[in-house]
Amino acid sequence: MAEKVAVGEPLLEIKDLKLEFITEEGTVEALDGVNLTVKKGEIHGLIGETGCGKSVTSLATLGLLDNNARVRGGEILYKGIDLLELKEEELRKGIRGNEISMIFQNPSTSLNPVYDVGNQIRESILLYQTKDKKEASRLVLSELDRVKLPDPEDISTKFPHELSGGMKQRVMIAMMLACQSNLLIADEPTTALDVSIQAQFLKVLKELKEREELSILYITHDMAVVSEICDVVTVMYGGQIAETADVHTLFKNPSHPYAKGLIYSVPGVMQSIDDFETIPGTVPRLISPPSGCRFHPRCEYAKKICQKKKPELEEIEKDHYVACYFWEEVE
Amino acid sequence: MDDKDEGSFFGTGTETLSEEIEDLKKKETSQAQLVWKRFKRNKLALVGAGILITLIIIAIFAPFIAPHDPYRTNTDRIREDPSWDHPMGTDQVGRDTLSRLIFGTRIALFIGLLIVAVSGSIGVTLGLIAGTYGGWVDEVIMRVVDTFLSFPVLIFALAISVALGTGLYPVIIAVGLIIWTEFARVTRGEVLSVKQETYIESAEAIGENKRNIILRYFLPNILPSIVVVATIQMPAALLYSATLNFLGIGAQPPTPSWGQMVRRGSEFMQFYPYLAIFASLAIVITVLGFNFMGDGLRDALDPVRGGS
Repeated sequence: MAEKVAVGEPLLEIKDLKLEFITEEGTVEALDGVNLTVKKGEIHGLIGETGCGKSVTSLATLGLLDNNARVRGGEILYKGIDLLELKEEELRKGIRGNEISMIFQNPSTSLNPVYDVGNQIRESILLYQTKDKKEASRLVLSELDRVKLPDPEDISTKFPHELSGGMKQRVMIAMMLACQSNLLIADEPTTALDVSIQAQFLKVLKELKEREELSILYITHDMAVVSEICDVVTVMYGGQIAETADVHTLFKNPSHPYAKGLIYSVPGVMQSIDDFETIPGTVPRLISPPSGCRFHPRCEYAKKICQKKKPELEEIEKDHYVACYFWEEVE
Repeated sequence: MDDKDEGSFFGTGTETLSEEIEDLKKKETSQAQLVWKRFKRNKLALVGAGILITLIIIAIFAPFIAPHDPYRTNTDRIREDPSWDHPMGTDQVGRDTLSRLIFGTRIALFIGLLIVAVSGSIGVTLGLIAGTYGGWVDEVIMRVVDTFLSFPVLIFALAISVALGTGLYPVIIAVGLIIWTEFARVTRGEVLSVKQETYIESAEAIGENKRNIILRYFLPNILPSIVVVATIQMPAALLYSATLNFLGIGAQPPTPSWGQMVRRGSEFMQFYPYLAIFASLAIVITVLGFNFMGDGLRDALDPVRGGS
């Protein structure tokens, strides 16, 4: 797994991933043919409404899904290796941490409350960088410095409850970076933060991408954040991929009706509440998903065929994929 | 302690909450200070702590505190009423009751601690395994717990001590086998709730192994609950061992043990009640001390559950 991937080459490729959860109420078809490629050195945004399968996709990548999840097809290729084929032990030793790591939505509960943060970062360092304890303690300070935390010596002796949310989230990143992973999955990392702290945090991520060629899969439903830091964006709806495009194309020229709706429903600062558009209807329950294209019940462009057959992802221009029969009509 | 009691010690809910917020506002207040602050507010808990500290001091300095040799018999002065020389009277062979009670403190605390240590290590280990691995492992361990819970406690303890012979250690094993279930149940439950925390997911995301997750994440986070269970199980351990002792199992004469003293005293209850009364009082006070202290600790460590 030591091989290098050049910047711009695919690092993580999820191909036609189908996944379901067995629940007491029945089978939930959480993912229905998800395609996603994260390239080396890019920040890839994964957006969509709550419950559309964003987090499930990321947890599946790390093999951290609950026991009731069943993979029904597809593959998750990381540097060409199918992660779905690996055993739990191999995932733990070879992938989690040293190749792919993850930070979660709520920084206040993501750190172990009984150890000071220096101790926790040292744990990552001891796992992946060095076995020497003194060396590790020294490295803790440089890791904290790397995420732009002021006064690392002081911070490293603090317990999680003594830090603010933004600081904790940066400590989380420091902990993940200390594993020296190549891919960072960030699951709504700024949702619980103040707007001003959000900006600082996003700056840190952006710098890490530029300085260290870190790849980031950034899961969010915050369109403002997406436009701020992402290079490429994938829009998900009801466990299916709706559209993938680079961030400028998507914001200027969304081709999937859902992507369009999502972008136009972002309230502008100067806009009055009556002016902005909303998408009619609600997110489908995936226990009995709509047939064909899952968006068709809410789609203004929907025709008969949308109910019958799921549209495949189609490359309408270079690196711009859309799963819609009538993308040409969307404007 | 019933609800009414607790209410009066904690004041109204809002009052506690606002004090709580005040506490949080003082930035440099550490977790330990906060716990101590809440503990202090509970007067009974302070009484309990006071009793326990006194008992520990008595146990350590027994030879210096006791007015007489607890083993020296004096057939001229058997079953004497309390006097200046013998403040709690003498027993059936003329030994000083007070001195024997003082030395008995050592035995009682020693047995109690050992029982809690033995049952705690069995229970916590099995609880951690059940909670961490879940599935059939959990099923098997919890059914064993259920089985132990369904035994009639005293008969079970009697059977074990009889099978293992006399002396202190059979009692420790017998009582330990009864109360380990509580440790296992609480530990398992706490592990299940800690398991839901995001920091466990984070730990898995950096590739921590199971052993580390148990030792670095589960164990330290559930430790407060285990300490509480230990202080609450301690009086149970004392009572069970005293009961077995009363029935003639455990520490043998002439060792000064409280259970045995109650038994001797009860034989002459009608015309010489002092021995039984003082020995029983020693047991009652010790058990109450641990109970008060355990309740206080539980409330102090978990203000949400403790307040209700």
